[in-house]
Amino acid sequence: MKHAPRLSEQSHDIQGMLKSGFGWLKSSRFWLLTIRDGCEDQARGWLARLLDSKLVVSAKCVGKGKAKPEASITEAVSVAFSFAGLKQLGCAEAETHPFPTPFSSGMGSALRRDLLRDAPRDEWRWSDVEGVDGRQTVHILVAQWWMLDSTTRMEEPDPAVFVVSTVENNPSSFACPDGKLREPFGFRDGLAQPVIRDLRDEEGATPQQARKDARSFYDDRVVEPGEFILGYRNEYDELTYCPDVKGWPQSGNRFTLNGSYLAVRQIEQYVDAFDQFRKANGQDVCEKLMGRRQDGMPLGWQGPPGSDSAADAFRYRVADANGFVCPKGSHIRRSNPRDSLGIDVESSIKSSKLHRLLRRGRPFREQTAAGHRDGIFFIACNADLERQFEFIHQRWLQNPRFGTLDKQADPVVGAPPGGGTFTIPGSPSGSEVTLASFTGTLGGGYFFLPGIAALKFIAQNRAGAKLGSTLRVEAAAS
Amino acid sequence: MLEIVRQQMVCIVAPGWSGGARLSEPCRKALDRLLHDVAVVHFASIGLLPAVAGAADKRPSLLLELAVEEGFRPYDLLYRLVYHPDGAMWALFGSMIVPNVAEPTAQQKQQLLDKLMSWHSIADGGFVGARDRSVRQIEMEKDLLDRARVEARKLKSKYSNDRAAFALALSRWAYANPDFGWAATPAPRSYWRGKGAGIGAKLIYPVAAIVLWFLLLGIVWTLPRASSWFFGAPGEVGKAIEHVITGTTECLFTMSWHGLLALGIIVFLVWLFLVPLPAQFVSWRRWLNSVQQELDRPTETLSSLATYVGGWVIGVPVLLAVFLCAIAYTFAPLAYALAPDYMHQVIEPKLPKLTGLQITAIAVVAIIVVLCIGALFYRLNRYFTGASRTFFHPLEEDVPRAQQIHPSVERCEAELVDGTQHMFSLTELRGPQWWSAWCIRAALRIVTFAGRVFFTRGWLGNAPGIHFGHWHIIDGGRRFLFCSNYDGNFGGYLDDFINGAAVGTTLAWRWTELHPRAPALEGQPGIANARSFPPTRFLVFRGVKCELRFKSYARDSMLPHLYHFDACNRTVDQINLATGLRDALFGERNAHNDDLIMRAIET
Repeated sequence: MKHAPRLSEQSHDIQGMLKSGFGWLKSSRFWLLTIRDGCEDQARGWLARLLDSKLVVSAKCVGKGKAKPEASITEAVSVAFSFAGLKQLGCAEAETHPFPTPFSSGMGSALRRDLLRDAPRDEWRWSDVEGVDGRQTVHILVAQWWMLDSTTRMEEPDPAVFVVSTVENNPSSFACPDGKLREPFGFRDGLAQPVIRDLRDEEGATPQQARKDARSFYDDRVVEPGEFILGYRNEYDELTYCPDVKGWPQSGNRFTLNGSYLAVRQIEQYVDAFDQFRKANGQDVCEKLMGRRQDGMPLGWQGPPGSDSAADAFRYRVADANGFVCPKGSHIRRSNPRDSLGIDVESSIKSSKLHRLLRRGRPFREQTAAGHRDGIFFIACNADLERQFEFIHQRWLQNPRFGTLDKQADPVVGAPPGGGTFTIPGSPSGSEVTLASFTGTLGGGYFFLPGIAALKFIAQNRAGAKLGSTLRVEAAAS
Repeated sequence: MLEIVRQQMVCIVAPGWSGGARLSEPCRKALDRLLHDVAVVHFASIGLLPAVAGAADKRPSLLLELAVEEGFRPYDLLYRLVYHPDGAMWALFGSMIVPNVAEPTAQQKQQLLDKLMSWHSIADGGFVGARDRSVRQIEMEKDLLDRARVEARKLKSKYSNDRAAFALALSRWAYANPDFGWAATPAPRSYWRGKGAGIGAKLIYPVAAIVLWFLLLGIVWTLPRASSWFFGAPGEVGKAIEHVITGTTECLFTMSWHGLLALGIIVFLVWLFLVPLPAQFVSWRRWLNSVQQELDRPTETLSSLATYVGGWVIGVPVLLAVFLCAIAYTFAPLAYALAPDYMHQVIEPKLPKLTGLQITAIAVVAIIVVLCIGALFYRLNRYFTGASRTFFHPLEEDVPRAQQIHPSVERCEAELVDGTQHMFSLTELRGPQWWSAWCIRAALRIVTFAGRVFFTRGWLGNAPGIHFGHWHIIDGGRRFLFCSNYDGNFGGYLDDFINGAAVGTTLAWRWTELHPRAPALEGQPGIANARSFPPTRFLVFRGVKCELRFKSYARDSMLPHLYHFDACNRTVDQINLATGLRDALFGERNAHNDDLIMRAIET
């Protein structure tokens, strides 16, 4: 038996990205780092300096005082580790509280490829597991955000210590006149985020205004903190499972308290293919595919665009049971079916809250010889990989038999390489459009986003250093 | 009636498996052919059960699970399987009967059949979802659905906006197609799942039972009189017997209608307090919700304390009072029969003489008082909830080694990701095992009855996606086996149980525990540490609602399958949609059926 922690007393230890997507920091870069053998101490040293630089902001800093965070935070960094990375840095899981199986087996494993219904992973460049030829094994994921057109303060990782790859910002992400984030197909992104109870952030709007704009639907998006942060009460009113590592000094709390798991996928978006589809079928059909208007508002929205909160204030069961407005197989209806899948509205909302993700990804752009590749670096924070990310991916997005559909995966991220079909329900009966493949995955992995105390422990883990050197000696001897 | 359901789910546990942890490819193919040929098996799975603790033979048992159509006796089913010309059952079990015999003689086949009969058990309880249809029906309806979709694409341009004409054209096409002659009759379903068993049909059985009881009393009461009428006045002994029979039947008659009336009033009060009053009074509804929460997930805070105090102040006295009144009213005729003088002279003067109006007024006041007390405790509860958040720090139970899944189990899930999922769960009965077995059997009969008669949409409670779920007490009452075929992934399936069928699941599993056990073979999961099922309250509350503990318990109890057969890979939704289309195409033309056709063909 132990005491449940209080979120209000722990926000100094929670990494800021769990509270905010740093929407005002419009430049981003994601560092994919592999620690070179024998360079663990230097890697720890770099992590320690990163911590000292105060760029790893806490949730408390994001919402400190009445001042808006835009004024005080001009650059922010979050650091997460794959299971292989934790092992490399000497963090061995405790016998009594090991990491969950999905995290320890890794998204890059062959087993998870099958469980996640992924297409062949020939294009994958990186993942979170060791020993796959032609793929970088990412140990550390560093997400960096900063103000547009300003210089960064973060010390860049030393290529002598790390194998370094970066995923660079897409400069056109915020280029629209409204200054809001858009993904490469041109749709508003980052909407319909869950609101963590007791750790609210409305991305610029006041909670009162957000509640007012959402009308009676506001509570649909309020989710218990334990769905995203380890160690707190979740939607089952139970404390989320907290794994531990050997040598962690705090007897009361575990290593993973205040942490979260990140499900990360680098998704390339075939903009040309989508534009051709748009040209052939029209913008209306593209919006049906996505399930939203391009400006982010629901398809049934009348009039000029409303607030972000209003854009998330709708349900399906009563207003759109047959999918005449938002097709049943559309991307957003699959990824969050809201009240449409259970026996009634109440049980459906309750059930859908068990499968929510906090998205923190950003669009990326990669220069190539022929021009550039665009896509999204998808990051989903969740506390139970199996119940949240994997369930959504396997049972909703990639399920060809979702609801009563037949042989249709998600039109945006699930269509097989040869393309597929998409049903648009209508009166008297629906129509079908033929899809091209609009996306492909370039890499993916599960990462653990530790609390700041745990991050310090990893950076200063002398026990781990000893363990690491012992392992190296043993490996050399064998 | 329950036997019909239980016979659909059969497990054969054959001890002394000396093969490996994989079945050979020829054996798997032979099993596929066999099960397709017999055409009555929906699902079949094979797994290995670790040896029972303390058994002399440490070899695992081979488990064959069969989920079949309604109406087959196990002997008929096993006879079909054993005497199939391919001999797949001999390939599987033959070495346990006579080793090293490839081609069995007729006598050896009979030996195998006898042995399988001795190893088999029908389910102690189970639930059949959308698979209350035959395998052939599901396949034919799927064919109808697929071809109707193709035809609809051809007709679409002709009937662009006219739903009724479009539906009529499709209906005509289906009627005119000789391939679908079978579909002209309504889809066959079991009686309770079909349209015949409405609420009236469900009520008629208890009503008929009551009427029969009163009829029986009437006949018994009449017997002495009929005897006198036929054979003349009885003697002294006869008169004494007549007196006893008359007194007893009259007493039973009065007690019966008193009991019925009391039961009726109790049912009315339960309905009143759980349905209309919560709908009308928010505070009462919230108070009931908090009671429900405390029963399922006690927070052990001050608000929890307030709920308990309120529960004891309101719930227990009211329930006791109502229950005692009902008992007294029911058994009063017996007391009058046994001690009439005492009742008339001692008890009656003490009872208040109330008119019907007065009784009604008292009942209304009592209900108002109960509602007010509920509202008061609801306010207190809210206050304490706020206060608890500020200064109360509840203790939480630790769940070690949670969210761990054995690779062999995950591999099985990955193999079935595009089909119907399957699970085996093996637990031990809690001691004393005879008592646990009796309780489990009683609970499972209730679950089976409810699944058969009430959950006729094919959902168990609010849990969708279950094709078959069945429980067996095996190994002489020592171990408890749960097998299930379901849509979705295992985690989501458990979530459905937790949120949709918590009472039934808790009842089924609450008398079990996990003991340390070695893996059946290398590469299979074992159990290192003993643990019990999550704690329950009042038999049916809490239990599975402890998500982490329950999922960990269920995960650790799981065993992988070596082989899995699915006769027709269709989800519950797809099966229901195809049957719906059949009934709509061949039913009367109305807006409802037309719309159902339009929705069914559009994907």
